[in-house]
Amino acid sequence: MIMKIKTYQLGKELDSFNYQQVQDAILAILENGDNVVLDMTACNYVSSTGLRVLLYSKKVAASKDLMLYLVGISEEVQDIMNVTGFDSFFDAFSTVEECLSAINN
Amino acid sequence: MKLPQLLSIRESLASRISVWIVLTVVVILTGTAYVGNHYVMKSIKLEENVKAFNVLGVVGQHLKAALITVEVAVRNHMDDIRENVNNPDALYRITQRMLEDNPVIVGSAIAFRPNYFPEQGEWFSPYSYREANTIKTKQLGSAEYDYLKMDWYQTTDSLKHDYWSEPYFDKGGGEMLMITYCYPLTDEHGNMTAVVTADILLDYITEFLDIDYFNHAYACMVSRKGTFISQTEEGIDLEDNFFELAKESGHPELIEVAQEMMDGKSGMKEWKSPVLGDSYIFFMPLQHMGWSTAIVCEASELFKNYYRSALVLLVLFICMLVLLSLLLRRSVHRLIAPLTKFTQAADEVARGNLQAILPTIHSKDEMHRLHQSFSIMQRSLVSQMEELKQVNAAKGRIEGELKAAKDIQLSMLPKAYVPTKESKNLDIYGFQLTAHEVGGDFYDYLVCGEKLFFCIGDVSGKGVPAALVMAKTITQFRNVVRYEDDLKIITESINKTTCDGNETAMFVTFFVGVVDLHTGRLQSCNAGHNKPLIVNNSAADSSAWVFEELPDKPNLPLGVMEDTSYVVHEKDLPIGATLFLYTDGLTEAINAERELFGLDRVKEHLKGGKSCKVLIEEMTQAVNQFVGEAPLHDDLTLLALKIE
Repeated sequence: MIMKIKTYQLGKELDSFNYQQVQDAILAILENGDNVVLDMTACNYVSSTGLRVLLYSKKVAASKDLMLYLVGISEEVQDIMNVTGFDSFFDAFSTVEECLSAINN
Repeated sequence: MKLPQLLSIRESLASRISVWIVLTVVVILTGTAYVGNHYVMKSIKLEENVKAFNVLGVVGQHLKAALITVEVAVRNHMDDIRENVNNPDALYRITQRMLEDNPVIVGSAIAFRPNYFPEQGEWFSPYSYREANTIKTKQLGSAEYDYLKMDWYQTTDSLKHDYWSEPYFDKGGGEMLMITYCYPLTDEHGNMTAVVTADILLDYITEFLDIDYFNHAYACMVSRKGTFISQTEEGIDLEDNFFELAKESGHPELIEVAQEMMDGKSGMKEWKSPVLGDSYIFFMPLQHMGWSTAIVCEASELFKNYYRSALVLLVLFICMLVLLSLLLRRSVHRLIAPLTKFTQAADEVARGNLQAILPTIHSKDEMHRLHQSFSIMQRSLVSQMEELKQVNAAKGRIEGELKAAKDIQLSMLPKAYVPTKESKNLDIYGFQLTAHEVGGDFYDYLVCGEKLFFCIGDVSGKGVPAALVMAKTITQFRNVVRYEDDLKIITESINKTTCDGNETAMFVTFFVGVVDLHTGRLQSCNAGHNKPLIVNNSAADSSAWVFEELPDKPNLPLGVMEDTSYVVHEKDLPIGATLFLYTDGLTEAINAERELFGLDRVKEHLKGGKSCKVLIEEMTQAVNQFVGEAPLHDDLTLLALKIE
């Protein structure tokens, strides 16, 4: 079975100013029955509200038997993930291609 | 117009409207008057032309009649003259009778050709003339009065028929300005034997020009050669020639008139006379004589009556305008009077009286619509003010509630630490600053026997939602540590509660620790929180400070996964070392230049072995200075503890 995948690109930041917009977009993809590849290459800051969006999206995805993959996590964001221990909770890849090939295999 | 009046025009709509209407009327009427004037002038000119021609025609008729009586008188005596042509004495009587029969004739001669009567010599011309009411007779021809060389004689001789001479001064004869009717006397062979003449004075002809025309008009009569026969204007010599005068004057109009008169035409010309100014010349030929007559008339004279009527009209027009402007001002003023009242009402509304009374409008026009709009505005203002009051009240209520919530939240945090018998070697101090009224940060500590339990946490997000989760977590911590001292169980228990019904995936980064106040043994569990720092003197150099982060690897935050297994770390907290706990509001405090406060600055302020209270107060001050005017964007929570 071929997995249905949609890629969503994050902006420079994920914080309390834009979290609602990002959350709505990701939920819309999941609602459609697609797996989400979240391209975070451009993103260099994720606030605690932003982390909550990732967590919530992951939980919604799990409830639908779908996956949320994080791709291209920057050093700054990786620090945040390490501090909170979230790094062990999410499936992460360094590029979109790597992610897609990993999924298909 | 005075200045105040000018200002009132600028500020008064009524004045402006009436000024505009009056100006429009002035422009329209002036235009109409201009066009009307053109046509009236044109028709007056035509009329005056006809009138002048009538006058000149009458002059011509009268003159012709008078001259014909002279011609008839001469012709009537011709048979008599022929019968007595060989009786010179009888000829004297005939000339005398000619004068007796016709009072117009002032002199009459029968001028014979040279040597007709050899015994009379070369010249023979019996001549009768008037002198002091009597008729005298004499022989006129002589070497001094050589009529044979005179115009009238020679012209008659060459024309072979009768004609009227040009005006001339009869020097040695009548001694007057005159014209002469000449009739040739012929013998049976058709040869001219004599010229019979009848003289009339130019003064006599002038009487015919004494016409009833305008006061300043003058008339003249010129012969076919242009000599003035008669004229009514002083300053022109009767012997002058009109055509030559015209040429000398250099006025093209006058030259044209002279030419047309000479050609026997009639007409009218405008002429700018040096004496009269703008004038009109009407001219007409006298067919019988081949002469021409003319009337010169001042333009102002011609249009005198018209100008008088126009002046009356102008005065009426101005009076009407004044009346119109007064009436307009009054009526417009009345029409727009409600505007003033609307203005007053608007001012009153602006001052806060929303129920200001509007003027009553009976009409159904724009004023009525203004009234409607105004009423709608008033009603809408009233309802909006009411709404605003309610919104303000609601806002005040929410603010009040938030204030109360803040107080409640603050009361959840531990009060200032008072050392007990068991914990007199403990120094601990906590501090919290929220970005909003309420926040998601918290810290807590309590001493149970010889053990100190402490924690610090940060709920994801801010404001009221975070505050609710914070309250739940801190309460759970308090409850659990009362009966449980195993950190793993404590943390997993709080995590379960947090995960319970956590639909919105709120999570809490949380650090919990317990330290034995006697041994300094420290157990800690980090659920995704910023790693606390242990600050201590360097063993090698007492002025150097070493920092150690706790622990290497954090667990997942609370509320993420219900069945997370939390790992507890253990280590010794050296005597005198400070354990410093903080939330990300410290390291991520941002100044106006978008710089982060950062861990390096934090470490700098941790040095020096200060008491926990001083340490935290200095740290807070440093952050406040760093942030400056920029608003605090996240909650800031600090906790420091030290075992002496």
